[in-house]
Amino acid sequence: MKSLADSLFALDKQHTLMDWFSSTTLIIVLALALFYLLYLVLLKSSKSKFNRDFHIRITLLWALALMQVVLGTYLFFVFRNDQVPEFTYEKPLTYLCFLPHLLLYLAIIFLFTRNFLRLREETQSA
Amino acid sequence: MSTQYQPILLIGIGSSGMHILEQVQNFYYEKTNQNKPDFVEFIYIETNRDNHPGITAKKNEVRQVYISLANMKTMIQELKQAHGDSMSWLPPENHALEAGSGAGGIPACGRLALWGKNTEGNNLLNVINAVKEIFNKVSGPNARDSNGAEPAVFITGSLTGGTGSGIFLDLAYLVRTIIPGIKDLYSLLLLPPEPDVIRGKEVLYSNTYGALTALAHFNNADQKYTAPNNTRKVFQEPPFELSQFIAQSYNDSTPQLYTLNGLYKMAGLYLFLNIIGLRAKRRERLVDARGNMQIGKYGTFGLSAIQYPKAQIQEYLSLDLSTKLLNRWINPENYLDKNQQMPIDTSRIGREMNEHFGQFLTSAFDNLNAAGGLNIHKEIRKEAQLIARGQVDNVADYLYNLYSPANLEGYYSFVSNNIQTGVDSLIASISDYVIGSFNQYESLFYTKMQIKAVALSIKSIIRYWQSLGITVHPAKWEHHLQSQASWMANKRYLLLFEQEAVLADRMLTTFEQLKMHLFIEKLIELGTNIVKGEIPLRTRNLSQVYDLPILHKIEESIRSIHRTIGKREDQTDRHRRFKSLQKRQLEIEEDMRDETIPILRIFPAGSFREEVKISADNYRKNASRNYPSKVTLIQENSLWDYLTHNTDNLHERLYFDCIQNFRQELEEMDAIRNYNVSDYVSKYPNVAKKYAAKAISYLLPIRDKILERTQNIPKVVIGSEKSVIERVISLLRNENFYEFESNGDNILEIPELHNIMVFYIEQGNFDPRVDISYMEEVREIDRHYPARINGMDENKWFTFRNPYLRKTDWTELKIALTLPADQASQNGNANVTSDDQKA
Repeated sequence: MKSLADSLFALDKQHTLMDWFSSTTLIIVLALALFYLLYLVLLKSSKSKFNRDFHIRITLLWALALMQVVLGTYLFFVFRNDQVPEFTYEKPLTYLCFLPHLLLYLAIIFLFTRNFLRLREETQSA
Repeated sequence: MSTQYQPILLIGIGSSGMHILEQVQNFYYEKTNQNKPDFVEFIYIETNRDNHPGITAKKNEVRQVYISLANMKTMIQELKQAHGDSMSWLPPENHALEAGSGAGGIPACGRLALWGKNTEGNNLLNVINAVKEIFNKVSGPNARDSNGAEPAVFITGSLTGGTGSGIFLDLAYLVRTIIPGIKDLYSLLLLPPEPDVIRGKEVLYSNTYGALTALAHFNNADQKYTAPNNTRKVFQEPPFELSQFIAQSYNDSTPQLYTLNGLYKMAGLYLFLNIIGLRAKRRERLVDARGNMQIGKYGTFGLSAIQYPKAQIQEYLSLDLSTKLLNRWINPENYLDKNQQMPIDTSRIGREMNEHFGQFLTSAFDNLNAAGGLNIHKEIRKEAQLIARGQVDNVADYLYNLYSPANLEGYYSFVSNNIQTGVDSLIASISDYVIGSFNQYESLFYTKMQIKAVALSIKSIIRYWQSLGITVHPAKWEHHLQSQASWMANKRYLLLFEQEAVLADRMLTTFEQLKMHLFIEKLIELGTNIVKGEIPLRTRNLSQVYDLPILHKIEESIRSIHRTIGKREDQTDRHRRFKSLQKRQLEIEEDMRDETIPILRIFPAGSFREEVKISADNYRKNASRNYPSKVTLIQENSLWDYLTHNTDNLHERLYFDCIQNFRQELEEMDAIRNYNVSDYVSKYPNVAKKYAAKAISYLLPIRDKILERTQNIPKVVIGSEKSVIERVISLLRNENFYEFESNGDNILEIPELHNIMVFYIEQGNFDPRVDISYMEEVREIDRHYPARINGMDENKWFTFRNPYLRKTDWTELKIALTLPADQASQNGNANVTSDDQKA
């Protein structure tokens, strides 16, 4: 009988929890580095010298959105190449796996809209 | 007109003189599209500065010579001091004040106006200069058409008022002084009509009687005239070669002329005919008549005509178009955009203005960024670079100092010193936009809404700035600046390498806030000027001047336009005399209905209204626009400038300009075509007979005497074609009307004389003081002056009414009237000494 952790992280003799953590940390670091890079590139490519505060804050949202797209693309290729064996629509676990992603998408759209409107208002008043 | 004429000077006296000349001008314009020929000059001498003649399409040629009666008391004192006894005709100072502001119906005051001077000028000198000037114009080497011929002078006016009866004789001798040896000096004088009762109108009739008595006195070859200021110059000749009189009443049972304007018209027609050829024709006959003792020194005439009233139709239509144009400007509900009526939508105007005002303000703020070779934006970026590189120690204090009012070299002083540049830019932008729209839409109410929207935009922008903590007070600015300085100094976005850009941006934001702080006061000033100001703020940009559009100017223009149209009337005297477009239209309508004038108005279209309608259609077709526009008045010039600059008497200027320009446009477009009256006469000879017969009735109520019409007395039919005139005369004879004969004496052909055919019969050989029906009654009044008038006594009555005669002359002339002729002559000779008269 597999423990919940074993089932959740798909642990077996070849894949220990340590392996999982180290690979996950690497992915997070790489993701953050990629995000920073994206943010910087987007920011510097903006030519506007005025309302810099606004641009910096709004570019953060653009960078987040772009990052999400990059991550989504990455996941698509991972799923496609690895051909996840137990990827079945009948199992609720499948949806549980995707749920954080979906929530993140929704959160970004919500945050983007809210911040965009607020920042635009602030900028106009300035 | 033919190529050579004797030059003619027409001199009007008083408002009647002006109205007569105005009619001459109208007739001449109607026939030739010019107000006068080069060989004719018009002036009128007037004690009322505000009296001006009517308008034709051309520049008015009837020029006013103003003789002022301001401060009569001083005028009298000065004249008495300077010329002593020869000024004894002057009324006592305290009596003169009874005249009020003008001559007040007192001939002695009228005469005073000619000889006196005051702070407003030297009246006598003004009159002399004016007469000399017009004489030189028609007689000088540059005068065209006249070929150096001696001029004829006509003096015209009414003898009922103070001005006319006060100066007509002096003026005649003044002309004789200026034009030595003049032979053709005539007068055409208006007399009062036959009254139902004289009571209450004694002054008018007595003035007339006094003037006629003085005229009779100087017509006597034994009498001499000396001017009161120069007794050395003596004239023995009579003042006029011939004096003609007309009144509203006829000699027979023909109903009298309904209006005084009708009489002016007849006088105007007579003088006009004299200008264009009748005078030469009359002169031939009068030489013979004088030789045969058939005319005497006094004359009158009967005059009738058949006319197509082109000028009246043109003027009426121009009044109509003027009213339409002015109504377009003051329509509170609609405006015209590309010939389409559009509603004035206040909320849309407000929205548009708000948007534009933001742009104007941005542009005004941009103007504050640089001055004297210094660009603040560049400076700020340099400062931001310094701070970002760590070359400044206490960043917050440093930044505070840059924007502080205490720093005389900081940004605060820089903006403060240049703030007017921004204000000027804002005024120019608002002015450009609002005035541009006004010139495009020609709607004062649309513009009024725009101006109100500007005021609202200013109000809301100030309220918004205040919500950001920005006020007009420097102390509050300093307080606000402290928090701004900390915000600017706050180091952020280091990881993103954006520190310098963010700092520069924040510094620029604070710089914009500084502009707002310094601009608030100016915006309040602008807003107040727009809503409450009477004189607009003004700015200059290179050669152009911009006035801030203000509500007061709009209201003022609307008021003036209402007065021009006649929708509103000002109660002051000055304005009561002003003729509005509506009033003038009513006058023309009344004139067209007036059947007491012996001029038959013919309308080929059926009626006056129909003629106007057809002409309006012609105009619309030729002008290819449905609505009148400012273009007629001022072409592409600014309507705003036209209405708001020189607003004194704007209503009068509008009245004159509108009528003149629309008449000119109608003329250019040939909207009202000429009509050859001869065609009408040929078709309806019975009508011609009826109107020709009217010329037999002359305009003077002489009841008990029949004036003989001899061969030598001028009578003539005037038309554009000799053959038609001959035909008319022949038709008249067929209808048993034998007054005119088909020989050269009774025919005057003037080819250019379209639209009218005239019948003229002159009369003479009478004495107005004896033969006019009401004179006996007037003599009675003078014998027993109207004692019921408060404060009147015999001497005062005499002095007021008779500035040219001493009482002894007066008595002698009365004796001459009441005794048989031979006895009177003996009596008169016994009493009169040659130097006894004075004038």
